[in-house]
Amino acid sequence: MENTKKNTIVVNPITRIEGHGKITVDLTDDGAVDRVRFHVTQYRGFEVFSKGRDFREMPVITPRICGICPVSHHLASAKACDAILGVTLTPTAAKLREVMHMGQFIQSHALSFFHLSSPDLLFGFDADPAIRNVAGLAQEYPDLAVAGIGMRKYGQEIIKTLGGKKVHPWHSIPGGVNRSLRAEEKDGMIAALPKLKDDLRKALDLVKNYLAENAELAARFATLETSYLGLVKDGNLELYDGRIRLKSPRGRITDEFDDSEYCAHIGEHVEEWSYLKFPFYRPLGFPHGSYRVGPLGRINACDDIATPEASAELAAFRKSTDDGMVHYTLYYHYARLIEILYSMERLEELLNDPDVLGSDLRITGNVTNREGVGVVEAPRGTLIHHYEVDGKGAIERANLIVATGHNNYAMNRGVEQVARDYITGSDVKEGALNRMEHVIRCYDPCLSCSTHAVGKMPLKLEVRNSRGDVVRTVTKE
Amino acid sequence: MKVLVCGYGNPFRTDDGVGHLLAPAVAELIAFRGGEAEVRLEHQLLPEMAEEFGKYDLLAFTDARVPGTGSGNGYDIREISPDPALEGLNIHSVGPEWILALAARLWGKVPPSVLVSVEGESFDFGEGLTAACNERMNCALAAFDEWLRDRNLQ
Repeated sequence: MENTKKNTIVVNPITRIEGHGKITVDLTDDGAVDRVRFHVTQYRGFEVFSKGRDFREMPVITPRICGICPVSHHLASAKACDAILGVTLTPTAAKLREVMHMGQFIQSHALSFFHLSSPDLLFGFDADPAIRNVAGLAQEYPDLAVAGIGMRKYGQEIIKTLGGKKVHPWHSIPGGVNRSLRAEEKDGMIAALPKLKDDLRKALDLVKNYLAENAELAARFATLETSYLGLVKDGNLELYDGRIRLKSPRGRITDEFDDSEYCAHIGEHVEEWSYLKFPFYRPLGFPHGSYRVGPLGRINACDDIATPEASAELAAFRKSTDDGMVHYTLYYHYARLIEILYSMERLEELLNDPDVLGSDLRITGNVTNREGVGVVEAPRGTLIHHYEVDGKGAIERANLIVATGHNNYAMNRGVEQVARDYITGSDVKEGALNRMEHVIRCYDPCLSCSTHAVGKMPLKLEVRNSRGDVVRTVTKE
Repeated sequence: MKVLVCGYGNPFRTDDGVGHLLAPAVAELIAFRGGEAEVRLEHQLLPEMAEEFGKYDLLAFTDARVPGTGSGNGYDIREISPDPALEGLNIHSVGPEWILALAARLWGKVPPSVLVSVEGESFDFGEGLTAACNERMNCALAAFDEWLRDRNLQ
């Protein structure tokens, strides 16, 4: 980092996000914010050490990237393997994979909103950190805390039912799945949904009220006019299998392409100060081709949602702006809750489909294609697994583009904007730090996924003077 | 006596997996003394686990700990109480006291609880325990059996 002529503030690592990162704020000599960078500083290199492994192992290896969204890696990997085999799944296998995927969305989004982000909204960014957490939530808003815990548990039980474990399940295999769903399991999943939907509606009301009461903050907080990327099926929101769509800031469909063509459309820019790459839309180059993914990306990219209640919520969401495109970063939370609602409705559809109780689980085959691409929407955004294999199926090259990477540029810009609003000089108040962290938290990044890293997340703040010396360090364990 | 034995940690990080090995052994000791033990193995403690605590007469947590913490014996058998102040800043790092506090706040009373912790030697990638950690685990089990006997928890 060039800091010889600047004062620098480093927030390292960020708390209450999944993984490990830091924020560096460069100050000018008079204490104004000059430049802000969100760094991801860990590296594990799954793409490297998977070389030489049999491709059939990848759906088991790659979920180890993450303990929060292993299902997304499991499914994207399995889809890439399907492509190598050149098979089309049976209806039962495809729908069971989607059942697990909906469970994953419910549990992961519930974790993000109820456990990680709602304390900031309910207690305020300037509240004492001792209460601005899930324990404080339990104390002051026990019903909300219980609702969040219930949704997490429900989603995780679905994953465990099909995959044997809540974390790092094993269900999808190249060409299908390895376990069917029993009728009594299906009935139990359906029976729990009405209560969960009621709880979700209350959370939606809470977010909508918050955004209405804090309209000025919401309009300003890390707002960015960007393009948006997400999977669609017949124009509708899609989380498991669709075409990749890019929509412009003004709502025009810039491009829509098959997932196997991602390489021709998406490039990856590299900066020396972060292990996290910066994906961009190739025809527009970097940084103009940067876009956002995840709940806000998907909700903006799609035309509509195929399930009735989520569709109605989407219509209400789009009334937030004149042209229906919502660039407000705090609206990620609103979009996230709409996606939980969609996941519950879609799950209900799937569970009421007789195919999910079928026993035709797997299509077998050998290496038919030397290359396979699998794309799903992970809770945090579009996840791409791309493998090249030799004639026997050994991995020759693996490329993973994860959700957090797509949002890298936007997170950097958003943090910079908040820093400019709240920081002058090296006296950084807790509220300013937490606002910067909350920008990151809106995107719910998984830094473990994005760099395939490991570790826990204390918060460290470093202030460096114009010579680059550290003059202040603050650590929150 | 109905007991939930919750072993947590990462079994792919050598000695961090000691909680997973301790838990079934602790359950066996409880069963030997007439108790009914249910084992739960997790990578980490999570809020949703708290909901079920009220169903049990005793909670036993088993975990690894890093060198330089604890009593200096290499293992500890420690009765624990709810303590919300111990929360980390993210859900990767909460301890059993914090989960107990969450359970107490949301669902009322929590049963008596004990933490069996064993000092690890290595937390590098790999399965299985180091010899030193394995020895400490055996000592911890013997001490836990005494703890059970002393409290007449049958």
